[in-house]
Amino acid sequence: MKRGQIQMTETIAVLFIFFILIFFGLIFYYKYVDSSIKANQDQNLEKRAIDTTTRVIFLPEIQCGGGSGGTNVYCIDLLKMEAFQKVLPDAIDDYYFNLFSFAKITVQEVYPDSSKLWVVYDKPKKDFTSKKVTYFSAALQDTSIIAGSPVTSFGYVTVEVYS
Amino acid sequence: MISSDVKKGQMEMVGLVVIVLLVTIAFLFLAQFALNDRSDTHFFARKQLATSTLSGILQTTVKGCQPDESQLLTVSMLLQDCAVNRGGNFGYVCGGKYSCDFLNKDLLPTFLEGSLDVFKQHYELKAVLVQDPEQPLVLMTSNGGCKRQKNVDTSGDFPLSSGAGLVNTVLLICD
Repeated sequence: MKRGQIQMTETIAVLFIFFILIFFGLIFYYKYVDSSIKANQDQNLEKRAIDTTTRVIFLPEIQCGGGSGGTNVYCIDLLKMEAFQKVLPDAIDDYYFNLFSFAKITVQEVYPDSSKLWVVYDKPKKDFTSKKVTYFSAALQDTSIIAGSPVTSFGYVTVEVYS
Repeated sequence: MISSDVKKGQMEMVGLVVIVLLVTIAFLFLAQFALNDRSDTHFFARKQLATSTLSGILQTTVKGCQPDESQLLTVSMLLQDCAVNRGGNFGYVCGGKYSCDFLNKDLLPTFLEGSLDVFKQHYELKAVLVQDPEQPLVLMTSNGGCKRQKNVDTSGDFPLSSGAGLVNTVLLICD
């Protein structure tokens, strides 16, 4: 082999390695951008889950009254909630969809009767790509007892949001 | 001939430097990706879950405790009774147990197994008399509690006054 040919082969080999490095770099960059986009989407969904949960916690339609016109956080008035369930279907598209968007909100009693479950809001998204579930516990106050203090059960609220 | 060899050597050195630079840049990029700030994004969920769970538990009422079975007692009242009668021979009797036993063995496990265990959360619930923190009135943990966990959030203090002194209750939730 002549010297020129050797140098040509060497140059081609160097270029080949160089392009392989560039190729791996591009693949790595693509994976990085892809995972960043997914992380961003997850973060947005998580933010929406937090927003929705906060709205449920402070929803006056179901929140217990705390006396003197105040409210009791992390407490759900069962009477108010049952009334809310009745009026919700008429206002779901006009008002509550703007508050909760595509989500499902359920209240599960734990003590004393763990078989009690209420679906407060249910607007599923048909072909959702991801779902985020958050929970918070709550006292479930039954104010229907007229004489004496209200019976308070323990339960939790599940907030599922879809994207 | 010597000058041509020197030139070739210089060229190779430049090539080597370029490769080292490329590799360094690649490693820096990799390090940035690997050490990317994966800050804890679940702190809000844990914090509000801890606060809501303890707040909910303390407000819950229990019926059927002696001496007056028709009386509704809140968990807070049972805790206060437990602090006053921790010896266990006086005070409310629920389900055949004095308040401390009833809280530790029946009531609180029911609450926590039905909620935090369902959400697969590690937790540590502790109620202590402030002047005697070494002997807790209530201590409930899941899988060793939160001592060795990195992401821990607290419900904050829920103080209750009792005849025996101040009772402080805290719920820790961790991942």
